Amino acid sequence: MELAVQIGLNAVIAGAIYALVALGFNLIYSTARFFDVGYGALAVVGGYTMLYVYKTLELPFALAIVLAVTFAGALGWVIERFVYRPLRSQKASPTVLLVASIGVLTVVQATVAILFTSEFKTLSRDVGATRVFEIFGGVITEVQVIILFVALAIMSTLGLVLKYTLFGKAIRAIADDEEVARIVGIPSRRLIGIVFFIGSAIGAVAGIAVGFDTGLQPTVGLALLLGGVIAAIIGGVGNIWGGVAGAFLLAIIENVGVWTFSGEWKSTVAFAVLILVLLFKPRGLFEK
Amino acid sequence: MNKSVWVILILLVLLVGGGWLIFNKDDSSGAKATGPIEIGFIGPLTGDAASLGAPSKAAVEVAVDEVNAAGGVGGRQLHVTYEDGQCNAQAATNAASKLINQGGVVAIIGGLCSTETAAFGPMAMQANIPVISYGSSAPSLSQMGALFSRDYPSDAGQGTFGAEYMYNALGARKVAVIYHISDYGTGIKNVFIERFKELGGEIVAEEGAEQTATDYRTQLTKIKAAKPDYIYSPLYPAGATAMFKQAKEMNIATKFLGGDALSDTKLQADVKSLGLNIMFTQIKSDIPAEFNSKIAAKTGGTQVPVYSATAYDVVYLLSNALKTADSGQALGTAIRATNYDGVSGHIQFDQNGDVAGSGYTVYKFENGSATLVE
Repeated sequence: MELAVQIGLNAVIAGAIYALVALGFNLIYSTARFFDVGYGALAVVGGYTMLYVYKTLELPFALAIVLAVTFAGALGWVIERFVYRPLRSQKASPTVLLVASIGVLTVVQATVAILFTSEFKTLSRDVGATRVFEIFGGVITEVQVIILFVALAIMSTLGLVLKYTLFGKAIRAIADDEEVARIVGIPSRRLIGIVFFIGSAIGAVAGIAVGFDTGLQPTVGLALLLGGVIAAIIGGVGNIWGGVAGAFLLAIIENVGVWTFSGEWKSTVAFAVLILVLLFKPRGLFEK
Repeated sequence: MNKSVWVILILLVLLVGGGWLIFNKDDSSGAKATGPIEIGFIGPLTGDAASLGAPSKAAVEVAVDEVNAAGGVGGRQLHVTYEDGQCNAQAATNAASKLINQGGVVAIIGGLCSTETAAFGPMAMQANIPVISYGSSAPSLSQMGALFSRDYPSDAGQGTFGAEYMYNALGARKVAVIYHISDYGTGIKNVFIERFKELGGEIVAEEGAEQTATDYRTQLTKIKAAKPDYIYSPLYPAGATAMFKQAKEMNIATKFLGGDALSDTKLQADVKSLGLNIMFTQIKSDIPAEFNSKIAAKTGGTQVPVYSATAYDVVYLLSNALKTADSGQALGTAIRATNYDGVSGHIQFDQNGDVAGSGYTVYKFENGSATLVE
């Protein structure tokens, strides 16, 4: 019983982080229509900016979060403006954009490693002081509870914004067909820029969450991205809620996999499931 | 027309420039016999074990300065190029290929992590360049070849010692193992488990994780449920930091015994506030206090990992070997013939390039550093 509860809690925490990554990824993918690998690096930028403003400059927590998330969002916007937009306006194919985004990932990751070294760092100011809650024999830390609620809040807000606001409708129109959207007067370029800002900011939240929960390394971006992307693919790419469901599903499968076999099988299980889903449901479990 | 003229001009410049460079290089290699002796160093200057790598580099710098100040080797100065192996295979291979192809080194000191050495070793062997490791302890490295030696003992001994210490001194009968899937972690874990079972103990959980993993919760959940007397944890420092933090969060009160990688002083400081009971095994050595203070003065730190002593000794035993042989097989043979008393102890290699070592001791984490248990 205890074991099952703990495995469940572990899965929920991992799922919340995957879900955040999948959210931002999905948002960017469905509007810009390419596989943005550079997005993983922005999560890392969020985490490391937090490290700098919160641990080095010792700013208050709330201000630090706002700064880190805004900085990562702004960087996402800048990258879109100066790398992806010129490429798109030259009618570059999604493959070219993918390759460019791998470049972005590498450049950002290497820059972070130069600035902060590639040593393992955690964001908590006092590692031992985290409060721990017990639920039916399983344990969850205060930080993890916060992560869970923040993730849920971001998911619902994004869902509501996309569904009910004019901005959300415009974004969905671009996602359906950018050209038509532009013809009916939607400023698609400006909106895609905003989408990159929001998507990168959500990624930054995921990066910060990882930094508090486990710890940061410059290379953590790719692993995070992979988790989020698998979640998005399992759930159906472009489907916001599908991505969230996929994230929790992936986390449960991973954790149950480790429980049944052993730790070293974690990624093997995750990717095997991905391949199975693709074979039987090429468009994901929750098709758009 | 204009364009092609420019192209031809640029090509000409490149040709002449390139030719000059090649010519120039020939010149300098002719002068090499009296120039400095080029040596490579590979160690984790960044990455998972950076806090072990930096003091090792400092120790090599100190030793090289001393050798050079005393006149060098046969009148020639030693010149070391330091490359970052990052405690991972890819970076170590890149580092070695740079040292071998561009650096023109006659020998490589390193790596520290077994992962590094296992990765670049074969490449150096093929290029006929002797490798002396100061910290790689994976038992599998004993099969590397005639040009490989290490003044740090193989984990065949450490795993066995850990198992015997667990069973006899700590009285543990049910042990859980959490390890990094790497040349180091897997190597030491296999020896440990074999010996522990032989003694009559029971392994109640055996959980591996990738060296880069930061989430150990599911493994720890299983270990907690298995209710072990002790947890054996041969992990690298970065992963160990995350693992200990999560163990604390999951209210795991079981005591830990780790391997020599836990001698990392940054790790010890980082997990100080967790209040966990952590011990680790390390090679026994009577490193003189004056050596430690010499290295600490160089690094600006307070604690000196044992790898500094072994790295320091490698410089001396290499310069002794260089007195009788220049490079290649002859240098390898000269290194193997070492019979030297260094700061880390007596160094003499067997037919696999291994040192016997002088046994192991146990340290305990205390107030952000480590103290000798016995």
